[in-house]
Amino acid sequence: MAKYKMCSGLAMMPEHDMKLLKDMSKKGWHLVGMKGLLYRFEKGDPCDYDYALNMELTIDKDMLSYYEASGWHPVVIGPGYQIFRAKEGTVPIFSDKASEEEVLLRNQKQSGKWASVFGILLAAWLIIMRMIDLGFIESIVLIAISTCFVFTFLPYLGFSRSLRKLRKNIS
Amino acid sequence: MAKISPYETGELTDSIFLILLATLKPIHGYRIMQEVMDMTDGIIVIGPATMYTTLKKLKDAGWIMDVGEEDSKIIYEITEEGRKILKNNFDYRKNLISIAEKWLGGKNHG
Repeated sequence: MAKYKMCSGLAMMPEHDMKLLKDMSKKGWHLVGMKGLLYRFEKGDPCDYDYALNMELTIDKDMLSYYEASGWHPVVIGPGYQIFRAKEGTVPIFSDKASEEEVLLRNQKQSGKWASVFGILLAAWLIIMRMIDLGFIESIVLIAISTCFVFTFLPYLGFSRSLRKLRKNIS
Repeated sequence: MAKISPYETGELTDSIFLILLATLKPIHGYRIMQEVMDMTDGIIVIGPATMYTTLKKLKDAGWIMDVGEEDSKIIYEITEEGRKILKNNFDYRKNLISIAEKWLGGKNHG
């Protein structure tokens, strides 16, 4: 038996989602994977777990060994993100703010770069659409570029928000 | 104003100081966390994401290097440059302790 819940966008509200996963585990529903933007849960015994999100671009056995050695087990490994689970009270995956800030900055720059590219492409396509008539292809290309822009710009906003919050806590 | 990185100044944080100590002998990256915790009797505990990020930065700074691999897990060791930085920082900390001992133990100002 499985249950599904909507992800609020891991880059946008990571704390909210990690709390959701923790609350679900307390009720006996444990994250087992993701289906698109939906978290998939399976029933088990209620447990006190902590969940943590990391956004490392390259995953390999070496990188995962650090988490396993600290008691964090990978539950979901997606493109550019990983969700780990550990017993409640395990040392957080980021034990200092500087390293957390660094990962957020890197992700912010990466998503910002792509958001700029798709933003420029979108603007260019809008201008082209006014100049020539390509029929239904215009709409398909517009939707494709807009989707790419949204899926890079929203994470950029999310990372920027997380960085502001982190820096406010540091200062 | 941009923050100055310890990798530029050589002014090591406690965590970086302890990580460099742990790499005086070849060691698996993931084992360094346990080593630091044992060295400090659990006072300093480094999380996995912090450790992984820090090791990458130490490697980029030329203070540690890959010396091998076992079961796809990288083994690190401190470099000559890293030893120099560690020694400088150790001398700096020792000097601070002597100054504090003189002031706290001798001319007592508090």
